[in-house]
Amino acid sequence: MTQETSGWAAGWTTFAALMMIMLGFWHAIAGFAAILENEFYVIGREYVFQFDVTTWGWIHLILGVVVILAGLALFRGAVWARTIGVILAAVSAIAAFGWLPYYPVWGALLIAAAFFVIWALTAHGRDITNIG
Amino acid sequence: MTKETSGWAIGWITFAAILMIMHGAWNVIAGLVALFQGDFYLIGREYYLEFDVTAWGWAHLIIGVVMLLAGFALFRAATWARTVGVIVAVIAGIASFAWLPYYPVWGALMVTASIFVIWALTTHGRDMATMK
Repeated sequence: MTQETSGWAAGWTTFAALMMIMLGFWHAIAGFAAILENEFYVIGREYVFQFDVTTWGWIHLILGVVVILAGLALFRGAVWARTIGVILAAVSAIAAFGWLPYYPVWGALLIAAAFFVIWALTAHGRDITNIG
Repeated sequence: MTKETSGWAIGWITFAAILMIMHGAWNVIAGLVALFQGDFYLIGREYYLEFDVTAWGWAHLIIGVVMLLAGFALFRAATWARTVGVIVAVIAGIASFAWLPYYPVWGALMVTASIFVIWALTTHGRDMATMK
């Protein structure tokens, strides 16, 4: 029974970790588009959070790298990685929402992935602790 | 009890297998379009990942075929199919996100399918052992 719980738990951890790694790569992809190319993102209207495109690019890139690292730490079952993961996913979703007008489809997908990370880590987080 | 577990397991594994076959077929369709009708895809802006359309076409085709094969193998409860499925789904999720500007709706659908494949295979994958 314990083994079963643990197996189940390991499944959710793996899911959360893989989603975080994927989310991190997505942020990096979106970030590089802003850093390497100024013409890619075009907002056809005035927007309060319209910082310099490059600024948003760096925000994405840094967020992406941090999320990937936290995802990798989660694979090792670190409890702190779980807490950090939830916080990072929330930050990621808020940033993606604020940035969304630049490229709505990417913004929506980033938010969706962040949802899944938060769901796996909070709703199934207790099971995850059972691994160790 | 055992019967119930087994029925449940077959349900989720079947879900994952069918989703993988669907996802694989989508990739093959998107890949064939690129190979036979490259001018179908128009980005309309500068994009740093705008490789040769044919290169993206082959990438889709290969991902699609691997996904299809793993999907069919999953029906026979092959353990390798689960591992390969998760890895290909993560790769497909990142690749579809990067490719998305070529055809956003297809990209978004592929990304979504990837998330569900990863979810089913990681959180319900262990149930597969009960299928045998």
